[in-house]
Amino acid sequence: MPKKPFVPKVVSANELHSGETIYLTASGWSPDIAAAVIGFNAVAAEGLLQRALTEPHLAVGPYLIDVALSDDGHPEPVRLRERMRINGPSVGALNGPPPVSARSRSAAA
Amino acid sequence: MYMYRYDEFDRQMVRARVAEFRSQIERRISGALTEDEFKPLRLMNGLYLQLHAYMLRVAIPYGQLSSRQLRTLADIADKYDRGYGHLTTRQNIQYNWPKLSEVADILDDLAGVEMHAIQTSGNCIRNVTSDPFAGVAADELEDPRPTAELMRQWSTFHPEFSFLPRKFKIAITGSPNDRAAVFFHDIGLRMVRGANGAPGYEVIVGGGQGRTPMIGKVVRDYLPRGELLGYLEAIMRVYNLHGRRDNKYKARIKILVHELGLEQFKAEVEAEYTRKPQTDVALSEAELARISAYFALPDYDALPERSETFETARASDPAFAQWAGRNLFTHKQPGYAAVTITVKRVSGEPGDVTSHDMRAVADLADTYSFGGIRVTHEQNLVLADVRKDDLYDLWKGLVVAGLADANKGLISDIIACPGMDYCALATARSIPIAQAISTRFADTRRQEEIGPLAIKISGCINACGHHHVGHIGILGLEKAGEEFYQITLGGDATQTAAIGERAGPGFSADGVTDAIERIVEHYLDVRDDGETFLETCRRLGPETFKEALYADH
Amino acid sequence: MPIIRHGSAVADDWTLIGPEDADAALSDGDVIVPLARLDDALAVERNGRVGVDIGNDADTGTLQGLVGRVDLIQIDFPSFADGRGFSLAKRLRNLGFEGVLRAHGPLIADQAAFAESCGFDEIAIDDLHAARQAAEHFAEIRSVFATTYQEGLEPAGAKRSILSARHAAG
Repeated sequence: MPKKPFVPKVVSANELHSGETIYLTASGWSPDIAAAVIGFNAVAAEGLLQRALTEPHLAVGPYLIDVALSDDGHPEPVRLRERMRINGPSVGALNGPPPVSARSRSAAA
Repeated sequence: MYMYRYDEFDRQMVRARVAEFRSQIERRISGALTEDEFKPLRLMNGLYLQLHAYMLRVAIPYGQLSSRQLRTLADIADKYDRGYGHLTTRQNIQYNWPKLSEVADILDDLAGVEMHAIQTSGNCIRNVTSDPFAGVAADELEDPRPTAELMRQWSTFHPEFSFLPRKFKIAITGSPNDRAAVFFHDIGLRMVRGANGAPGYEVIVGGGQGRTPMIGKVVRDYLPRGELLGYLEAIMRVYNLHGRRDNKYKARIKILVHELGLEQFKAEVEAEYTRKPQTDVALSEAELARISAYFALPDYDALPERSETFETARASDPAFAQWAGRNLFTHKQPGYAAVTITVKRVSGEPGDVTSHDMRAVADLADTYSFGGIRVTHEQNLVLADVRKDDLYDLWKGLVVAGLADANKGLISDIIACPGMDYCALATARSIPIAQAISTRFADTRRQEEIGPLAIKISGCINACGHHHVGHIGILGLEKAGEEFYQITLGGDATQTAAIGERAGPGFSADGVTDAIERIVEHYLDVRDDGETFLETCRRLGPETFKEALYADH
Repeated sequence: MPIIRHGSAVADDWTLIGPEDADAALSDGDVIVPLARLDDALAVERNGRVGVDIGNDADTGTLQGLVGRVDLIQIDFPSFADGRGFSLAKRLRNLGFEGVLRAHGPLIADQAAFAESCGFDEIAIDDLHAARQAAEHFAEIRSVFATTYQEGLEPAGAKRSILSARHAAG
């Protein structure tokens, strides 16, 4: 029986001070998932997570999330929950400005 | 203001707590505390980390607020958050967007008005909740608030019980009509009289919702009032010693009661109660008397039961009449009423109040209700002491504030947890479902026709939306990467306690509203004259709805 | 192993004998032995006091039998989040134990006052833990709260309870 193909991963966490969603990049952390460094196999993914865990002063509770690659190679979250963490609450006439992560995405667009 | 006021001891404790938390935050940042160590400490100060941000849960002891406190909550929303707060199913309020670096400042602002976020999370004793009509309900045997305040103090920074196997929730009712859900708490108390008329409590242990909903069991029919703290200590010690710590989902006291069996559990508690040093009953009674003085009755006017002003307005203004028919509660003082302000706008977010809402309610409370407000565990607000003569003016003020929805207890008065829009534990969203349902049933005449129907929605199996005790409960899960909703029927949070029964296979987000409509239509078909949804459900059994729900499937 | 007593780091007078040292003869001086070795240790004529380590999950039925027999009881905290030891300590004090109660485990400074109020005399933390949490933290946190809401805490009379202060006669 063929092994299930490895789903690429990125590391997500919450920024210590603001609590905002952030992603591990090659050089640090970013609220923009497009900048996240991708682990294409189990060993690489685990390595990324271990690196993330060495920075508790920056990121809280890092964990791996499944991503799919867009046409231009950018990671996009697979699970609805992770999409929510990028876009912010789906409800909320009462919510003020969108979270930083969404702002930087639209700024980049 | 007719509520508890801090003395210098209380103020010292809250200030010390803020200083302690500042130190803990500094040690977290410096690395002296790991995140693992910091997490329970921040939880014990009500600070969660959610999907998008931190969340701060502010304690509103037994739901009681002064207008000054409510205005401060509004100011905090504007200064540190996004201009709103969320009323919870345990009578607290939570903010969704605070920053860690500002939390200690928020706590300072709260301390300035005798408020805090102590023990609103963590494996410790949480906010003691009660009847939102405590002290004014015509059907009340005794006011539960002094006891609630006594327990609040006793449980605060308890050296022995701050690292329990799991969270611990206590509720108390002073009325035989239980509006505090005491059968669904770790400890529930009902105020009763002993054989000789002496005041005391019926003690119920081991209720709860979550993954394994259970109805609490009576452990003591009658506990004399002065013995309460000593007896609670015995229960807590048995739990702290014998509660499971190997499995987070089996760690509540309800599991201990279930696994030991009620008789053995009672024996353990009574043995501990006997062997431990006797607590000072006289001291407890003295403290209760001291606290009770703060809850003295307000300076009511001597009024007749019937208000001509009210009756005239009711006869001439149909919208007011409809609101009066729904949102009023019988007050024990002639000529007065308790008012529910529902925060369940059609297609709004259940329980969310803007800073503007909060200030409007604070002003109305000052003008019409001795400056007092209550938060209910159904995510609404109450002005408890309104002269019937003033109800029409109050209602007009609520209309201006956009807070005059006449839907207390109706199908659009939905309880919903924040769900996957906010919560890191959620498996599905709950707020959009609430919005879809309230939009579908927006028509007030239709709502009136349906009558009382409590829908409760939880976005995951932890059941913070209390779906198990909804007349209709909705549980949001995940199936094959999609949100997926199960329906339960016939739940009841009152003294006729019942856990809802699963209706059958679940529904997609798109299908849930139609499913609710089918249930409602069937109810309207089969109900007896004047029968509520819950009564019909009890008479015919939840099975009656299954065919209506699944006939086309 | 650093011992914190009333917020200060003090020397450890006791030698802890682990279960793996089962066959080792007991040295002179004060020793803490596992519960399974207690009877043997008490039977021997020695120079020094005997303490016992009851772990964290000791059967509460064994506690009564320790009162009056040992000079020290060590209670383990497998994690700082596991607060069972606080009730074990309280139970022992309620049963009349008057010796030293030692909490052993990764307690954090913020728990020191709680530990004392439940009857512990000292906290033994491991070296790694101590490196992050200087004794100063223990001292600082211990004095943050001047009073307690609860009655009946240990040591009796050490910290005035708020209820007693409010209703003091006269």
